[in-house]
Amino acid sequence: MIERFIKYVNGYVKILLVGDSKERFLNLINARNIKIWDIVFNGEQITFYIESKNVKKLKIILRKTKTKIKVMERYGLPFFLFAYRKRKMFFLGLFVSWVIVYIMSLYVWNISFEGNFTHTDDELTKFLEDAGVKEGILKDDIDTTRIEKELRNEYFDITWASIEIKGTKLVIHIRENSSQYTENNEEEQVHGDIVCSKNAVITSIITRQGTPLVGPGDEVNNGDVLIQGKYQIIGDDLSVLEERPVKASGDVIGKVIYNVEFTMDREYTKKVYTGKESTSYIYDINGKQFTSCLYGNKYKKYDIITSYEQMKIGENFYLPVIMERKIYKEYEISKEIYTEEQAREVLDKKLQYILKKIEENTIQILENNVKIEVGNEECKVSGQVIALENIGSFGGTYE
Amino acid sequence: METFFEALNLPKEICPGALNVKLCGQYEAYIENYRSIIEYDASVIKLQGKGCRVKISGQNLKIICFSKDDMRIKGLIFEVKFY
Repeated sequence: MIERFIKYVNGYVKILLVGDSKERFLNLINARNIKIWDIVFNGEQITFYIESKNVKKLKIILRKTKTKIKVMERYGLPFFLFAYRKRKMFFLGLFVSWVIVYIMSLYVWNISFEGNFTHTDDELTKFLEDAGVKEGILKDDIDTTRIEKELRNEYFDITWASIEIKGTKLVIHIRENSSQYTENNEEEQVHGDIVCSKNAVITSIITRQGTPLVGPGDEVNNGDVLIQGKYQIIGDDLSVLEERPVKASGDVIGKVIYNVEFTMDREYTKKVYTGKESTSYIYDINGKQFTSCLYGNKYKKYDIITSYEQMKIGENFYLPVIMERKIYKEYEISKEIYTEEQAREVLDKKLQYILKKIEENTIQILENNVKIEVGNEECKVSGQVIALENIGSFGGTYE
Repeated sequence: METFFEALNLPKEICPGALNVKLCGQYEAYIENYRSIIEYDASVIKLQGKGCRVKISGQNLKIICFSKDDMRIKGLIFEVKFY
């Protein structure tokens, strides 16, 4: 292998030997220690390979043996370079691109995290940025031990951190200790009332702490105090001896009425894609943008679908080039009218969505008398939804 | 010299000047300690050794490489003859 490589670098030629004293020629070559190989007898001629630098040495032997040679083929790097001697810029470009790739491989162009559950990638990225590690940093400048230590010191629930550099990608492996993860949720000693969050009629009230100000059947409005965050110590003479502030707590269930009303035109506009589309590419190289499309798009009405992709060589060699692909899809607007069935279907979907939203916060829907009316031009949805709901929420604190 | 090597019970391969011919099946031959090429064409290669000559006959005989002392031949070998 090495021998073949050396032969390629030095260059070698295939030579045709014509003459009678072939044996003498071979013996003389041998005597002069000139290396030739692959000697093939071909009729009256012999072909063989010889290193190009040795061809000149054959001159004397040829004269002695009265034979002639003809160079048939040339192989190797010197001949390749000679053939492409006018393509200097090509080789220069090749060299420059190699240098650029090498320089870029010295930097980190992508940071990813593995094993984080409670801490988001953004949060950790910001932390790393503050610690001086961001995309575009020299690999040698990354003090992995320091960052691992800082990560563990900053986040107590991170029990193990390891930084790995794969190509131009920085992978941060984290192990979080979820069992010991306890939020520092020592309840602050706050005092306050339970206030009403919606206009409602109270159906039941359970007070755990505080003084209830309302009872079942009472009509309350948004903002009213339902359970006061104080309790009074009353003496034998019914006078208030002491008033202690507490954090009011309790469940106040009330009937809440939701008015549902919305309209929709039967005529609607519909996007009809014409099938024509054009794509433009924008390359973001280290913050500078280059577009491949000089004329913009030629459509009047269009949707844009944008996707981003960071360029990389292989799996881990990320480059500082982000390709933004924009696909312009042309459409035309056509006006259409819903049939009665279609209109009902659309309205029903909207209504179900609203009911779902109401249901999320309620205990039970007691009544639902929302009706859908489909007119010739307009459709209407109207009615009331009555729901049982916890209307009390902790609001306000006492000083 | 040969008797000397025989007396010492040494392999005769290392006897200086002895023409060694090694065959690797029918397709390759390796010759050591030859002095010169007497004749070469596609069907016969005659080599001069120190005290003898060797004739290798065959078909499509090709010298893969050769130096002052050794030579490697490829091709379909029919016969190796010392004379």
